[in-house]
Amino acid sequence: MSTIIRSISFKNFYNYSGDYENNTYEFSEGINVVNADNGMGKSKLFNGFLWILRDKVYDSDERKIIDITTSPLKILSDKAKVGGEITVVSGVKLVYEDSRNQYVIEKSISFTKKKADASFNNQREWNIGEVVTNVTKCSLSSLSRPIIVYDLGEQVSIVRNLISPAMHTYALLQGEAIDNIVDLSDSSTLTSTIETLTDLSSLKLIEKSCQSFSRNAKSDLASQQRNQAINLAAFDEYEHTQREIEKQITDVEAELSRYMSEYTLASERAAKLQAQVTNTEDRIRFQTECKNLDKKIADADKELQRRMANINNYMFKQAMPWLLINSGDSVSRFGKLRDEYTVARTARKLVHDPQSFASLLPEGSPDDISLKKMLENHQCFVCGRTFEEHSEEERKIKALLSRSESHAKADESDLHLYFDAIQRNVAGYMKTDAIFGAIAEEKREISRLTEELKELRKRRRDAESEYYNYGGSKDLFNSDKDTNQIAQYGKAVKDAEMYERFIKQAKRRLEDLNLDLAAVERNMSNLDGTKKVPAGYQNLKDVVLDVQQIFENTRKRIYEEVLEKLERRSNDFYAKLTAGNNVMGGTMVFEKTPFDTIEVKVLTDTGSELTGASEGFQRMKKIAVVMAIISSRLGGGRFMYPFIADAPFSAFGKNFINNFFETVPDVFDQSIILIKDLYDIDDPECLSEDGHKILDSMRSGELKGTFYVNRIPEEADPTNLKTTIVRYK
Amino acid sequence: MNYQRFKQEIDNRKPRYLVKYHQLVDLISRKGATQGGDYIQFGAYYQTYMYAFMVGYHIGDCQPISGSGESKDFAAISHWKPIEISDYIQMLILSEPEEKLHFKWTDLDNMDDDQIKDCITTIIRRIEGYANVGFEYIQKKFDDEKDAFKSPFVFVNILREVSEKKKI
Repeated sequence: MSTIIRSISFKNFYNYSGDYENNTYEFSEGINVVNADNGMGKSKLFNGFLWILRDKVYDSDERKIIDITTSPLKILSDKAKVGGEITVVSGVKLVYEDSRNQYVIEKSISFTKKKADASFNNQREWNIGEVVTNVTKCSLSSLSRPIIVYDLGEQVSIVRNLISPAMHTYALLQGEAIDNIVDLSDSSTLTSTIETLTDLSSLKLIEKSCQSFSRNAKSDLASQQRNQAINLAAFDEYEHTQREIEKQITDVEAELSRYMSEYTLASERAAKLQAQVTNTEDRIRFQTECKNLDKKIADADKELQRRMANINNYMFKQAMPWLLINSGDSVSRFGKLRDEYTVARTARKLVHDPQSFASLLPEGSPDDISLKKMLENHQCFVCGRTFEEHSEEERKIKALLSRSESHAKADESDLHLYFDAIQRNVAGYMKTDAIFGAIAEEKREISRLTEELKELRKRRRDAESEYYNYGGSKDLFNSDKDTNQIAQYGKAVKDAEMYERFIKQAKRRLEDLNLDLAAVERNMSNLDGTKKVPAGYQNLKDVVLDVQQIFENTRKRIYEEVLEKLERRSNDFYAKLTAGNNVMGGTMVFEKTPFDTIEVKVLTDTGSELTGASEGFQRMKKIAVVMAIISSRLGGGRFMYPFIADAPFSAFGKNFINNFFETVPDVFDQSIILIKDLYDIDDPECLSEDGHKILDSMRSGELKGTFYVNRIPEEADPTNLKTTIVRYK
Repeated sequence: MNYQRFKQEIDNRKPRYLVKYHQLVDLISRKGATQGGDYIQFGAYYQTYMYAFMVGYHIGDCQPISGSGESKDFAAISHWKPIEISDYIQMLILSEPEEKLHFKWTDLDNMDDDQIKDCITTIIRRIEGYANVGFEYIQKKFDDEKDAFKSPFVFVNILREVSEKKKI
């Protein structure tokens, strides 16, 4: 009969504040559901089991399982910490039964404040006691009073009796641990798990004994043969050869064993990596794309920033500064004023010296300053057209300038030079209309770059999303891990191939050596002078060898039967767990390798290997294998211990929860499932649709078990959480 | 006064601006790159002054700063770059009608040094007057429409805004 947990109670344990009687879950055979949202005490409940069974708790800050004594203050409820009591106790009490007795295991720690306002988390401000374990047992068949178990050895044994430590891996599932229970790519672990569960080890022990008997029988026979040998020198020679060959066989067997172990390691490594390599290649592809896009984005962004930052520079530094936008014909106006000034000045001079300006340029002609500027800029400011060097236009302007200069004479007042200088410096700004075009062009370019950036950023987001879809992470993104992984996969495959070759060579060598040994032993037996060695020695040797062979064959047969059964049951469970899914997850095949390990492959209907199935399917396969292993145990075929799970079931895929609840009773006499996926805060009973279905089938008796919902007061202060346990069934 | 001295006299003048605009001038003149989409910076103080002048000039209102509050000297005109734009500003002032300038170019040929210096002072006061109106406009814009300063085209937009209201 399986062990059955009857109840678990808490005292000031995390957010289970108060005494045991206020924080008790009573369980029964079948499925026991504790439905709670995040932060409502599921993991703390699981920690209660961990403390009882392993003296450990899961530290959510450290995100790992630690000894209870590492940070004991963390387990004490905050309410107890702030309460008026100087000394408070935090504890867990578990009641379970086996076929004969009921046991109560209680573990607790006392905490005493060193000062009234002792800190919540500073252990130095508290006196913290040792873990106190109290165990009692009470016979189920009599009405005797509970007996206190004082013997520490017996206490340990009672705890182990609840769930054997060897089975903790299967009986206690937390978080993502399901992924590590059955590593389908680790053939040796799977092999040893199966051997443990199927008791094949005892057969192996018999085989070993037979080998020892066989060696002794052979040694006795050899001793008799030596005594009866007609040619001792020849016998010694053969015996020497026999020893040589036996030594070589031992050496080759050692080599073979090493090769097998190396092959196993390499092939496991290759198998593990193979599942990831497809994703890895995709990840590298999208990682590269992301990095290329990052560069493009940086370039485009830099160009955009440069352009935007330059706009203010364009105000002053362009050939046509944008500052002069809409300045119209200011320069022309100034030119006219300057002409008027020149005319007035000339007229005044003429009055003083009529001969001084005998020849003047025609009215409206450009002045000397403008002419010089035109030559510098290769552009006529009158018509606006440009001209080439040494062109006819340039020659004409030069002629005009020299004519003007030849007629100009120095003026005694030189303030006109100031106006000339201004005219010369602003001459290039006559036409400001081009500024509009330049601004529009710049706006277009900025708009184009902005759009380009938007598009690049979208592509970058898409590529990043794909990268994460293929299992990428932020840490991985900037590391060479993926590239290294591909290289490691290639190396692992090559290593496996190499060791496979070595194994074949060693096996051939062993066959040859065994043939040589048999020949030498035949020769040795032929030297005994006929029938002088008692037949019993030869017979014993032969019989022991036969027995050894029988046990070896038996072990192999059982092993293969178990394997076949495992395969069948795994696929049965897998089919049940995946029922209702449209996607085919393939069929599991358990194969014994030539090197005494087991490989689990998943094949499609056409027999080809299935890779890259979704995470949900992968996890369901593992659960199916766990169930198959547990239910294949020789004897009862049912798990002998409670199954306690605090796992993210929703991640397993659609339909899984319902299928899981239907399948679990087939395997486990008692399961305690801590789950948030049946929780719905908007429902009056805080139950999802699936939650209601399961509760209904429990209430109708269709499904055996209990159903709890954990609640906490609305808007609870996180430092003052109090979980309330509500039993629905 | 000859050309050289006339030029030097103008170059040495330091147009003023009201102290109340100092913070604004400082803010939009600070050297440095654009910061997080904030495009309010020009890069040089004299550019800010020239910009404010153009805004005021487009508005067409010249408000001399004498008597309107505490003022501060700006950099001497000789430091203003590019020279072409500094000259352009002088050109705009010199192109103004006599009733605003209170002298004609030809008058300058016959004036003594003190009279010419007065004329130069008039030129500088008008530059100040337009810049003053420009600063007032920018300050109001900055106070009322901060978001507008997130656009890299903010200063172009302001110039277009004021120039299109009243084309030169």
